[in-house]
Amino acid sequence: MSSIGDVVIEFEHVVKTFHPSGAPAVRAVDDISFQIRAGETVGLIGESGSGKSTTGRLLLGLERHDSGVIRYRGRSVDEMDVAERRRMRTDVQVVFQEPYESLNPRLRIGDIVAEPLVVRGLGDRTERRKRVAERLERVGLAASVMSRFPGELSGGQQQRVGIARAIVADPRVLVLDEPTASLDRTIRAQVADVLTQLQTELGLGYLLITHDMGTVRRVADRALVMLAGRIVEDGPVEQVMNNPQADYSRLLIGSELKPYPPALENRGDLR
Amino acid sequence: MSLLTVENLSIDYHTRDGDLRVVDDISFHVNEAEIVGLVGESGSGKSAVIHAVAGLPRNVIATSHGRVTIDGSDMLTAGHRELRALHGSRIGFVGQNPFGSLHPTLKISTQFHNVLKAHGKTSSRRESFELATETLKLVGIREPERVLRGYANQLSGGMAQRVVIGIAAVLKPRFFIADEPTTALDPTVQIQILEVLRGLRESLGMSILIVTHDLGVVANYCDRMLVMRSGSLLEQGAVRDLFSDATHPYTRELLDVDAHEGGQL
Amino acid sequence: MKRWGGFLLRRLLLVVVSLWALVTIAFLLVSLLPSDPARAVAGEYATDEQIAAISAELGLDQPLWARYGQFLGELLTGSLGTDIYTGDPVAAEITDRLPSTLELIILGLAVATIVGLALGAVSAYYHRKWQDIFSGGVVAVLQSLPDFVIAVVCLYVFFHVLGWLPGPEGQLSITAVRPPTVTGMIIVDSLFAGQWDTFWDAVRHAVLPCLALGLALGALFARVSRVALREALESEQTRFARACGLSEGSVLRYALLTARTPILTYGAIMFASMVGGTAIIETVFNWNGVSQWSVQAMLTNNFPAIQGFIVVAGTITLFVYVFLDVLTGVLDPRIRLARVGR
Repeated sequence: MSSIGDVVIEFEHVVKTFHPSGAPAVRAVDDISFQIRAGETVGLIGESGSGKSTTGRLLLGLERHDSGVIRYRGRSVDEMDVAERRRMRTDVQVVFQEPYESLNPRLRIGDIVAEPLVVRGLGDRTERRKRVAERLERVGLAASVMSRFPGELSGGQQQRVGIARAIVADPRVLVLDEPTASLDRTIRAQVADVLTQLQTELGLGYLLITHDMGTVRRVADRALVMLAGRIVEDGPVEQVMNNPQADYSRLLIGSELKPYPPALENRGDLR
Repeated sequence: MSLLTVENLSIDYHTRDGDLRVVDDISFHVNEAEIVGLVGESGSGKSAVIHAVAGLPRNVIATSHGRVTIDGSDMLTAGHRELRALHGSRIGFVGQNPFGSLHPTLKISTQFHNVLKAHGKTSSRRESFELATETLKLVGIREPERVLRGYANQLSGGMAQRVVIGIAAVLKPRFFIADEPTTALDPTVQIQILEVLRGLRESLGMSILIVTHDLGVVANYCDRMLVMRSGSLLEQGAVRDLFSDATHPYTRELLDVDAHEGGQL
Repeated sequence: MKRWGGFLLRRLLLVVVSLWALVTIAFLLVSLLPSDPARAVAGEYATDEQIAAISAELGLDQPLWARYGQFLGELLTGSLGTDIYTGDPVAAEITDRLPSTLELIILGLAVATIVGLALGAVSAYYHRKWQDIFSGGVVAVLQSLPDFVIAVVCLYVFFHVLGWLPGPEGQLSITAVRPPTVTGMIIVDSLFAGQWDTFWDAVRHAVLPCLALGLALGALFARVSRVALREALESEQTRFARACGLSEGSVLRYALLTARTPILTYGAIMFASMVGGTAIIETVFNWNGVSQWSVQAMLTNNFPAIQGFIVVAGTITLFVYVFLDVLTGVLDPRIRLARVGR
């Protein structure tokens, strides 16, 4: 895919336990370790309850880990001061699953994409306008979309807006939480391509959280399979997807329905 | 022998912004004990088609033209009473989100009982309980009594969807419509649910019309498929034939997308 | 079970703390009133010495914290102080009148629920059709009319013009025999005593005020239930119910069950706010309730009475909310039961 650089994110034996009231404690993340390099996409595959969403939230700083180390560019988050932590928040951004629900329906696209800049006090109005227009164009939308409202856009366009918003403040890492789940088949491919292209241009690291194998194959360099809070498989994407070793990985990847009828399995021209 | 016949069906939606032709003159049929997949992206009109076929009202004012016949009854012209008699007993319907379909505060057994009572097929709660237990076993639930005594929020996604299928199938309808039945579920569970549906075809001789956007579902579980786009039916035929010799460029495009993302390609 | 215990304990602790806060706020609010009660009691022509004497008698010359301590002490012995005009214990004055107000509120809310749910259900079910518009119009009219206008209109139509019901002479006609006090609510007490004439008399006198209150509150109820029912009727749950052949009546019943919580919540809020909120209706119909008494107390600076009323009304409100919390928890299995199957 793209050229891969230094390690940007590192998780080392990270544990996160939840204590819901009146119920037994849940180890959502149970001693996981992995790395994300600049320009690399790590696909985190799992079903509900696997801990993949919690992992994403830990990386975004929405939850605090109980033990283990989370490092950003070599520095442990526990040792960071306020300024460093704020910078990390800016550098690690997120794209959500439901495009319509993550965009404020009462704001115009221009304001939505500019919000991260406004919140961090970056640039004045003219600079922000320029940046927003440039980012929108990067994700394949015309700058004229800035004056529209989310309700006027299609699902694929809304998701691109979400991506534009995520990259407007020049992040280094994107957490993509099921970014293509609610999109149509053909649109899914387009959005995946936008993401890949951005990664090449900007050298971003991606944590792709999903249970859609198709997007993983298309975008990811490495694949991690999670089950009950643990990583059961970790390797290059072709290897994990085509030749999974762990029992659960085999079950999960095997449950992906082949997009051609069994009777035509041996037709080589089905490309 | 066709169970469902759709002839020249057109549907117009009347909204505040004007009229929209969402389905344009489509015709197809579903035979006995056949599983047919209806494929289309958003805006294709597939939602409108199945709601018309199922005889279910939508939150829009719509006019339909053409004929939709299920087992002899015309779904477009049937009155309320006739439709209500058909719903559940001859036509089953399952949606995407099981937790949206099940009632949150009523026991599962009560929900079964209400359906059976509405069709006069039960005379006591005890009887409903027994019928429900049998049906839940049929859809692969191992502890039916426990599930029946509980509530929807105590179930996992897969179990909840099985319960929904159970309630929809308790009166053994001959025709079943499943609207994206596996989209909201985890991958390992999806196959289980599709196997349940296939199992119902085997044991009850049901015909099933599955609406999906997942070609893997169509490829592995359907006998025939229909491809819709922008209100029109682009292609229909045996799955095997369409996958190897699809003629419409749109169908090829759909197949192509999946091919890139799936399997050893 | 363990879950229930913890929940209730926390709730009770909260109630105790809230009660203390309520009592303290009641005291502070009243002691911050600008006018001087001693002067009001003494009258226009009193001399300064007389005012000072009354002030001392009422304990107004004491420092704030001392008065607060005295107030708390009296509360713990069950006393709410003494009415500065009549000399009667405030607690007695409230317990005399509270049952009548509760009678009004309970019956009025019953009417409001029926009216509100009916209007709301019609609006929700016939969304955007003529029934919805008509029902919405009725609600709009009722909502824009102040409750005393509704009350006076009811009186005019049913008493003055049609003569079907008695006029604004309170809870009973002058010649009626009051039943021995059990609950304080005349309708209930006359039933207990077997005094049928009194019972019917009381019922006839209650119809108009409860109708007026019910119509006024029903409009608000209708709006809440309309929204809640609309959402339930447009849901996937309704589609599935219809797809299984359930009748429209069952579908509506299912929707009502789902919409139960917001409707109950609103009902509880209305109940609590009506203790004191029925003042106008009580005044129009000469109903001897605690709401209009409390307004009188406020107008005459009767500070012990005001304090006592705030404490009682606040306590009722607190307990209504706790009851609501518990009831919602019991009714909704999602709150009660955790996930089991996986």
